[in-house]
Amino acid sequence: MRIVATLFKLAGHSLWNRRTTAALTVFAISMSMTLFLGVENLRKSARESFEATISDTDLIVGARSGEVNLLLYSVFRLGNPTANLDWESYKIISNQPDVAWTIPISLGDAVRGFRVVGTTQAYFDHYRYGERRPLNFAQGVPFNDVFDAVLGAQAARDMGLSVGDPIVLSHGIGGTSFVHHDDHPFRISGILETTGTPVDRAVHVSLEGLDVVHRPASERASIAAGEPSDTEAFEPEAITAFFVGMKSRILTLRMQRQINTYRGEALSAVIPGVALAQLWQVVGSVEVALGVIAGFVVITGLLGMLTSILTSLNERRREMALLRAVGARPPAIFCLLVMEAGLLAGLGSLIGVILVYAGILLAAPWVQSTYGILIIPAGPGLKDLQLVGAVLLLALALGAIPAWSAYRRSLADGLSVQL
Amino acid sequence: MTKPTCAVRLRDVTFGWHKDVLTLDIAMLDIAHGERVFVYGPSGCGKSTLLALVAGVLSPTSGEVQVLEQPLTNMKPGARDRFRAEHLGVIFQTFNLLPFLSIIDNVKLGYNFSRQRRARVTKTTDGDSEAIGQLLDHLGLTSEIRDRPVRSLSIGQQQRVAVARALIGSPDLVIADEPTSALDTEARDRFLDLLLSECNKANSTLLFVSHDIGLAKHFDRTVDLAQLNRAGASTGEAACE
Repeated sequence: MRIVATLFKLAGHSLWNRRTTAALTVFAISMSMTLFLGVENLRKSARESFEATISDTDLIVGARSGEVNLLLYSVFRLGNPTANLDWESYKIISNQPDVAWTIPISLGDAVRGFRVVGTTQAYFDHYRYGERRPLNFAQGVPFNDVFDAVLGAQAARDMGLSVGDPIVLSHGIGGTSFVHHDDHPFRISGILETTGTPVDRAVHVSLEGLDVVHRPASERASIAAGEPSDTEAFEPEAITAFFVGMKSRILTLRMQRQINTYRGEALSAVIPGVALAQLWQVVGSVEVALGVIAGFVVITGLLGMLTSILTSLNERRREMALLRAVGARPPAIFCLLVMEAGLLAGLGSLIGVILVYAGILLAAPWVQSTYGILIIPAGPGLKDLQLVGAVLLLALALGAIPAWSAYRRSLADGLSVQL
Repeated sequence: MTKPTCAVRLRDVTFGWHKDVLTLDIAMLDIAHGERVFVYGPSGCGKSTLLALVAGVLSPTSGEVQVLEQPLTNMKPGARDRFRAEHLGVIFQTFNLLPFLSIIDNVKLGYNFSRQRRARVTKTTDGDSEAIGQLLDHLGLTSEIRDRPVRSLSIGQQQRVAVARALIGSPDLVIADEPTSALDTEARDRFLDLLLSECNKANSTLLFVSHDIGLAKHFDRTVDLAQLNRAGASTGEAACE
C-alpha cells in the first residue's frame, strides 16, 4: 500500500510539474465528457418526454391512415389528417359497452402558430400524460361557452395572454394567415399548467366553438349575440380523431380489431405505445447518430491524452531509470503511467460531470420552453456513472500503451539511460 | 543478521547488449564488506554495465553475481528489485533528483520502495524526518536550503541530496556512477569527503566508478576496469579508447 501511495504521489506531482499540458488535456477530456454526458441526458430526456406525451389512452382512432401519421396529427398536432371521420362513427364506438371514455379531437385552425384543438370537457377529465398525470389548470376553468378558449401553458406564455383576455382565431395553420377572423374574438377561460407535451402549444376550444369559426359572419354574429348554448350537446358533422379509454386494458386488442374492420367507414385504431415506438424508430436514428458523434469526441479527447503522455515519455526516461535505481519494479513504472492516465481522465470526467449538471440546472427552463423537452435536473444517475466508468476504463486501457512502452524501456535501459 | 563479509563477488561474468558482442567479460571481482573501491575506466569500458549488473537491474549473459552473499543471478527480477530497494544506494552522474518533488521527498525515495529499509530509518532515530534532517545536516544542506525547489539547487547541492537519498536507511552497498564529473575540483573534493565519511557512519561498502584517475587516492583500492574486462581488451581500441 505504501508503494501505491508513493506512486500516486509521484504521478500527481509529475502531472503538476507538467501542469500546462496536463491542464489542456484535462480541459479537452472535460469538454468531451460534457458533450458526451450532455447528449446522453438530452437523449434520455427527449425520449422520456416523447414517451410521456400521452398515457392512459388505450386507442387513438382516426380516418384510415398509417399509425405514425395518425399519431403525428392527433397527439403531436403535426401535419394534417388525410380525412375526417363521421360523428356517427364516433357515437357508435363511444357507446360500446367496453368503452370507459372517449375524447373527440378536431384540428384545423391556428392562432399565431399555435394549433387550435376543438374538443370536449372529456379532454380535461381523461387526457393523461407522463405517469398518468391529469391536466391541471394554472388559472381559470374549462370552456363552458362557445367563445371560450383554454390555452396550453406555452401558448399563453408566448402570446402573453391571461384569463379573460380576448383571442382571435384565424384560418389556416401558419402564423401569417391572410384571412383573419377578426370579427368574433374568443375569450380565455383558463390556462393549463406546463406539461412538457404538445398540449402546452395548443389552443383548446369546444367542438361547437371550432365549428362556429367556419360559419358565415352573419351567423357568427347571431350566435355571439344569442343565448349561451350547451356546448356539450353540440354535434358536429365530423371530427379529426378521438382517444379511447377502455374499461379493461385486456379488451383493447379486440376493440382495435373491431374498429379497423368497422363497416361504416375506413377507420384506423392505433395503440399509442406501439405508434410512439414506431415513430421513435424514425426520430431515434438522429439520437443514435448524436450518441455516436459524442462517443467519438470522447475518444478524440482520450487520444489527445495518449499523445501528451507518449510525448512526455522520452524526456522522462531518466526519471524512470532513477525510480528503477531506488528499487521501483517495472510493474510499478507501469502503474505510475496508468495512474497518470487515470488521474487526467478522472479529473476531466469530474469536471465534465459538474459542467453537465450545472448546465442542465441552468438550461432546463430554456430547453423546456423552446423545445418542450422536460429535463428533470436530477443528480448523476446510474447510467451516467456507467458512462463515466466506461470512459475511465478506456482511459486506463489507453494509458497502458505508454505504460507498456515505459515498462519495456525500463527493462532494457538498465541504470543509465543511453540517449 | 551479521554483516556479510563479502559485499560483491563476480565470477566469470559476461554481458552483451547485442548478440555475439560482449561488452563485459570479468573473470573475477571481489569487494569485501566495508571496502571503498574505486573502479577506474575511460568511458565506453563497461563501467555503467558493471554497476547495472551489481545493482541487479541487468542480468549477466553468463556467470554469477553475488551481492552481500546473495546470488542475484538466481533471483527473480522482482526479488532483485526488492533486494536493491532494501540494501543498495545509487548515485548517478547527473539527474539524480526528481525535479517535481521536494528535497525531503527526494530523499524519502531512498526508502519508499522497501518496508525493511524504512523500518531501519525509524528504528535508529525518533522518526524519518529526524533521520533525514540529521543526514542533510551532515551533508551541509542547511534547513533554509531544504525548503527550496530542487531546480534552484547548485549541481553540488543536488549531488549531496543524492548522497542523502542513497544513504538513507544505511544501505549495505552504495554504488556511484561518476557522481563528481559535473563538479569543479573544489566541490569534487568536498563531495568525496562527505560521501566517504557518510559511508563510514552508515557502515556501507562503496563502489565508486570514474574515468578520473586523480580520485583514486581517496579510496582503499583501485580496480582498473580496462585490465579487468577481457571483452574490452579483445575488442581493442574501439571499445576502450
